[in-house]
Amino acid sequence: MLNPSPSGPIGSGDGASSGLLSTYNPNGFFCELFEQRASQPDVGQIWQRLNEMDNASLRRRTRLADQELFNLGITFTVYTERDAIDRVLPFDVIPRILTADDWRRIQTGVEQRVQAINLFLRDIYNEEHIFRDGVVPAALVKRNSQYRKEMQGFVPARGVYAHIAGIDIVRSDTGDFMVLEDNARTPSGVSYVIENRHLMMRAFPDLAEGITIADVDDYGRQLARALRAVGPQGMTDPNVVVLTPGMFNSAYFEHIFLAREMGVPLVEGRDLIVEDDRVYMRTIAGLAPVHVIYRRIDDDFLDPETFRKDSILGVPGLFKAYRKGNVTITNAVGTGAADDKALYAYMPRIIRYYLDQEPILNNVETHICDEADGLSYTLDNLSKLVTKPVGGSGGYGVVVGPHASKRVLRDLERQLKADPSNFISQPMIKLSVAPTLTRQGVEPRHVDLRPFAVTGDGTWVLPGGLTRVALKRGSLVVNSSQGGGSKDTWVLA
Amino acid sequence: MPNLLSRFASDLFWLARYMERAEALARLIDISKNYAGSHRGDSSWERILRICGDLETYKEAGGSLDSASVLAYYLLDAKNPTSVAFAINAARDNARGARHLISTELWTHLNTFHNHYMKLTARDIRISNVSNICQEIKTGCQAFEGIVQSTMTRGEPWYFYDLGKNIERADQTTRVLDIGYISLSSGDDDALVSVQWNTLVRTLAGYHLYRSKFPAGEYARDVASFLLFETEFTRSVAFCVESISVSLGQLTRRLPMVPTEAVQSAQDALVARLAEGPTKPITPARLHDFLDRLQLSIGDVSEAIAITYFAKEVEAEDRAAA
Repeated sequence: MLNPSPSGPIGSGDGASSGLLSTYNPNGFFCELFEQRASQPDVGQIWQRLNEMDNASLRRRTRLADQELFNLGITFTVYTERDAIDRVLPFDVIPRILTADDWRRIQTGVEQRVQAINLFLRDIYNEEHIFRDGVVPAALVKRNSQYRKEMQGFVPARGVYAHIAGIDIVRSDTGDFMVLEDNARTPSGVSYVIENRHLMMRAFPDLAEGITIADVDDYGRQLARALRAVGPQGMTDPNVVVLTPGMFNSAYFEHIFLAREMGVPLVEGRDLIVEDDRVYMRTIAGLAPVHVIYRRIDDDFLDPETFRKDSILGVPGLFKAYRKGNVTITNAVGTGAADDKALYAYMPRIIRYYLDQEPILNNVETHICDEADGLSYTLDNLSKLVTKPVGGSGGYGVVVGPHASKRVLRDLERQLKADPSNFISQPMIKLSVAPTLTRQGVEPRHVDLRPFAVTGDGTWVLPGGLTRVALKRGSLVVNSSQGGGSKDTWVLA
Repeated sequence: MPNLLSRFASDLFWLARYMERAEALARLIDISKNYAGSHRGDSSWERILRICGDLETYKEAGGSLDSASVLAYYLLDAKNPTSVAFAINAARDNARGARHLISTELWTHLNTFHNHYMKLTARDIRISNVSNICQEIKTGCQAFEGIVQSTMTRGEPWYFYDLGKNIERADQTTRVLDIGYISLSSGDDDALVSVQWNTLVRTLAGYHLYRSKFPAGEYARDVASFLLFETEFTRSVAFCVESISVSLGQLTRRLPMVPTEAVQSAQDALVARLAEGPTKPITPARLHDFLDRLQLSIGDVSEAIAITYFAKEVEAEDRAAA
């Protein structure tokens, strides 16, 4: 027999000096598994079990997991000129571990951040205290294209704007967690958190045996609870729907997931109609009222009467119904004003301003070039810093100082002097790594974390979150469009 | 809880129709292959094109009547609206549209079946392997139906699924019967005819019941009678029409606010037309004529369901697929 032990890993025998992880070397980066294996018994146990597995077994389990993802149709669609190709988001079978202490800090930090974001949004669309008190420049917020003047003077149910938030967190070489980005519009990825766990428990029941890991299965119930708590005019039994742009959207799988987990209809714009400023859905028995819409469509496309005229995805008259308080839209319109790069730099001050607390999770140190100190520091250290235009997204226009040519830096200097308010700068972060199965064996790869916070009559944070991993050696880019994958995230008890 | 959205009702209705159509096409192809094998020359491939109403389009597009071309047209050509590939694609799209209403088991089966099927190439459907492929399609569709039976909620979604399935099944049975009669008209000897009818009933998985009902009957007339009227046979038109009545009745009972006169009168017309039966004595031409009119009546019920329960955009899909 070629494989005497098809049902489990083949132990490689003699302890720490040999085994799957014996040559594993984090190369000076903070490793999520390696660092805490001595101090945390459960981490040490997982390390040991992984070490005793062999490459072939890991690969076999990876293949099975990939096949399962494909069969389940958990794919995102990549459009080329000729075809639409369904791809599986690469799944790495080695979980990312967070200790109970790690998690407590992240959870409270995320709760704090979401609370501040909601207070900030209410303020900038109503009283504008924060502008008048000189904490955040009004111009910085109002010139952001995501600031929606249509929202001025309107407070949604319970004053909640960012019902669902995803806070991107990285860990530095000192082991400190830092927020890299706030996502207050329609953060995606939560379906992978739950599906990754299901995959993991099928592929690796032996890895977690006897170790307590926080459940992630409660997300649908918690989300439904929160959305039902923000029904219009305090109604107690609202009809909730998830609004999708349709099955050709690359996140359609997640939209299905959300509707299924909550047990509510997954509707498209064409299923809805507004009459007398009330929203209805077309059913086999005629129109039925809709009270809460978890939309996965951008503001621009929500309502052709208020926003983009050419949108065919939205519902004419929806915004008016919203402003009249007849329907709740989650996330609220205009939450993008709270998650752009320029505002990010002000988040620690925003937390102090509204909550009178120190931020539990720090920002990555950020220099605001709109301010004299920030500009002069940035100009003096261009070759060491990462400089980002505040309006850009997806990494566009970012200059990584240590990797940039002199010509690029000279060019950047000119741009900075001409329009300083368009830039921020940050030091290079040495992102933490986690052991990841690669073609070359188990190697360190950079990871980040996106925990998801749900806010209705309180804030609940899904334990763990989405761990994204940059699968290319040395790469810091975790985005799925650029060779990123994901891992299951285990929060230990 | 609000009622089922019109779009989902339509998705489930068409999901059922397309899965049933894929299975029926596999049966038609399998029968055609057997007939082509027992006749001389490739002209027997013309029949399936005629039965499906594709002959003109096919010839205009320069299609040739050899087995490889016709098989590719019906098995692999995803652009041909009467191909298995088209039906499986359309079924999957409809399932995706109503994905949150069907079980993960059902979705996974359909998705796996779809992914497997879409990998087939001309090599896989060579004539020596066609029966295997048809068997695979039938098994895939029947496993699907089994998972539907065991996992689908018996609420509103169920009735629309059931309506789609029985409407398509009734329609397809008329086509199978038609192909049998068309084949007869070429004047073969009795022995060959009896083999052909046997094969046809076997292909519909009804041979045993047929034998027990008609121990020594004349083939053509009795097979027609069996496929049209035998209420114990799940693919007979009578069985399907009765199932449609039951589901329509359930929907009317559950949704008293919905006006159903249009559906009811279309269904009454279908029942009446079936009861009338073909003009006797039955000739291939008379039977063909009757089957044509029966197909129109079935189409009327389908359209009335769309107008009554699905919104306007769904009627457009109905027409496109007709």
